[in-house]
Amino acid sequence: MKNKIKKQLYFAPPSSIKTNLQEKLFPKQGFAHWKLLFTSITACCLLALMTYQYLNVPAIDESYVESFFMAEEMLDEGLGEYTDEYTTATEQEDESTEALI
Amino acid sequence: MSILNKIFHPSDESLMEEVKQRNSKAYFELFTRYQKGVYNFALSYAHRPEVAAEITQECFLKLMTKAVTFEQGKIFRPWFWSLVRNQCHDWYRKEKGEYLDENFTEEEEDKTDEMFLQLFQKNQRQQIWETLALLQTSEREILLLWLEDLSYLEMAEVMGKSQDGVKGLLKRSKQKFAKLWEEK
Repeated sequence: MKNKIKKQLYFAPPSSIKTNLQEKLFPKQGFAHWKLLFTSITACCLLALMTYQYLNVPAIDESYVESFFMAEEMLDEGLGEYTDEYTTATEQEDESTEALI
Repeated sequence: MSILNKIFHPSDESLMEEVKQRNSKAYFELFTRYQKGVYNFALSYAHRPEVAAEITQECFLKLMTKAVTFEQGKIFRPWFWSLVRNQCHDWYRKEKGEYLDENFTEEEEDKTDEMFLQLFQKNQRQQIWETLALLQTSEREILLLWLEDLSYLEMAEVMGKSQDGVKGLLKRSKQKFAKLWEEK
């Protein structure tokens, strides 16, 4: 009887009451949104750093290559001149030695 | 059977012991049991769904904050309904700047809230609420507590009256409600 009356009389309360109580009295445990965001960003940065270190092969710079070859050429030229001078000096020494003999 | 009943349908009092330990499951079990009654009790004061929802929320917040004051061995329902009634009276006092007491004049009680009347039109539920609104506060309260299956002893505790006083008030309220209903 009473249930019948209640069914006819009572209005259903809004579900927002339960949601509000849940938020106020029992806030969800674990990571909050900002914590999750912060952790994700940190994890991404760490991953990027590790990947960078793992693949840290120095890039070939063309200007370095050019300067390397230029240096080699210069060295060759320098060595050539030196060799010529050395050869000439040695020949002269040989000649003078022969003359002495 | 009784053990199974205790497990699957724990008493309000044992749930309150859990609530003291901030057990959310027990808390929301009590909420599910009483939310409809509390909301409609509040609606009989506020006449506006959003305000009734606010009062209901406050009642259940107080249930948690005052859980520590609930002594073991006490009966839950009169304790809780007293809390709900006080909350409704507090709201009324703040809203209207008046104290609710038993000495309301007919003239004051005859005021029907227009908003309340506009809310639910052209169905029987609306007529019931309209009729309820014509009753005095204590008459309306006793009818709603009776609907909530409170015993005379429990109603007496909530209303701060004797058991005989409550019996008489309930009888008068029912008669008045029936009379008003017929007149409508």
